Amino acid sequence: MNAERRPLALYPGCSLLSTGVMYRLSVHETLRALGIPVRELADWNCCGATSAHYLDAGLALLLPARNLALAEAQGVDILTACAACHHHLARAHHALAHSESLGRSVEEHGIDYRGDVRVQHVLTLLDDAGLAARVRRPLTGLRVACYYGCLLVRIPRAGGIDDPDAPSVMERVLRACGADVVAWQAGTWCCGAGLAVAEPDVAQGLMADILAEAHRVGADCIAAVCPLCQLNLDLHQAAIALHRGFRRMLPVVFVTQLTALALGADPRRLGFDRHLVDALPVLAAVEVVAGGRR
Amino acid sequence: MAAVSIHHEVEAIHHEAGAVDPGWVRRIEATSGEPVRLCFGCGVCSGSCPLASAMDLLPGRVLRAIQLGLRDRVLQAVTPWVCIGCETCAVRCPNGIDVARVMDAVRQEVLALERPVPMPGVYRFHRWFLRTVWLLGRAHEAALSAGYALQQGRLRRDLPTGLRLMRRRRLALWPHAVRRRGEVRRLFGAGIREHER
Repeated sequence: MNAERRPLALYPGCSLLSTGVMYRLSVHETLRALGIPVRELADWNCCGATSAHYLDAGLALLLPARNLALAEAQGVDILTACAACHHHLARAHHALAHSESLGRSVEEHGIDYRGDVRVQHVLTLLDDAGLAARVRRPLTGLRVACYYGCLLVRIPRAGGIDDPDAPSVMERVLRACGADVVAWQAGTWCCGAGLAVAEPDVAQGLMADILAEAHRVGADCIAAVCPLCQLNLDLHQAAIALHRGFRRMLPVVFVTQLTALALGADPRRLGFDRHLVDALPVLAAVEVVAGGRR
Repeated sequence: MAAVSIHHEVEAIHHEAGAVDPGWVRRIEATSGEPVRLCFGCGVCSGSCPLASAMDLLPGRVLRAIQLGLRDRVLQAVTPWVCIGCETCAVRCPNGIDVARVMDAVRQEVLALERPVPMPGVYRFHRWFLRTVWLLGRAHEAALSAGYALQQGRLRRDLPTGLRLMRRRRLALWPHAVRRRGEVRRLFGAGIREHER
């Protein structure tokens, strides 16, 4: 392994082209504000997500492996945003880099991967970027609950970016942005993920526990790093609030919407008008004049 | 005391489950890549599982039943279909067993044997997801939601949700596809297992 760092290419993943569009916009705006704009990995494919390992173990290795091989051929390291994409890419890299026989089996399917690509998540990049000195619009007084969900911090031996029970990287990043990070218990609780579609009652019970905990500690908003967590808590919150009698609604934003805001990006380019639970109060809390809502 | 209760447990389960397949645990170890025989029944996986309340057999009990060769009991359980792979069990197991991978192996055995799927809705959702990946190389949220809703006969119920997302410009209708889609399609049905290392 050489110590030389290759340029980073963003692996957006499928959700960031659709329901998680604010994540993609704000990752690019955050990196642009830091002077490290990145291009996207060319011709990337789906990482397989839950569905591949659920139904087909071979596919669960081969889909991420093709992306790793593409990055190697393009001479780039992979920058991830979606927690699930990060987990599946990092895990496949770990499996392939530690097993020659596995490498040979993927080669039989036209995938030539030597195991040299670094899979890095945007949070660890921001943690090392010296944010505090570059903040132009401090998030003073904004009480943020840092929500990691499951897959970004699992499994430490195969790409998890932080302590699986008590992660702190998102807290450090947002504190550097001036935010008032709250202490809460639900940071790594599961939102129910894909079960929200097929078994909404089960998943909404899990989401309700997370929202109740955020209310208990008096958070103004929840910061997410997974497009499915964000979608679930955003989309189902109105129904849950009605059922559980929550009097307030909590905006659920992507962590990079907050970092981009703090770094001085134009708030109109961060997708705050695309939330289902009104996220404009977040802008108001940091005294940004809202850029108009359709 | 412990020996007596295990004995009763085994008898009760055997009585309930019928056939016993003592070689099964080794086959599940081979397909999952996880050392199921190392489980000593501490129950940390069951205690940590966020979905335990929706399961008919707690995760640790699934491991125990596999050790005992209670194949039919496990293949009929809803547990592997409720498991969404959050991997909490994998980071907590003192023996380093990734229980979610064992659930993957059980589910895929149900499918390979064409046994009845205990939770068809969950299964169909993931099938629709992979269908769009096969077609485009990437998942297409609008298409998979529509396909799933149609098959489940709940289009009328799900349509308002889709419209809410569309109003916020969060449901891309135009497909975004991989250029070399053939490369992705060839990966389907390859049958490589991650444990081959």
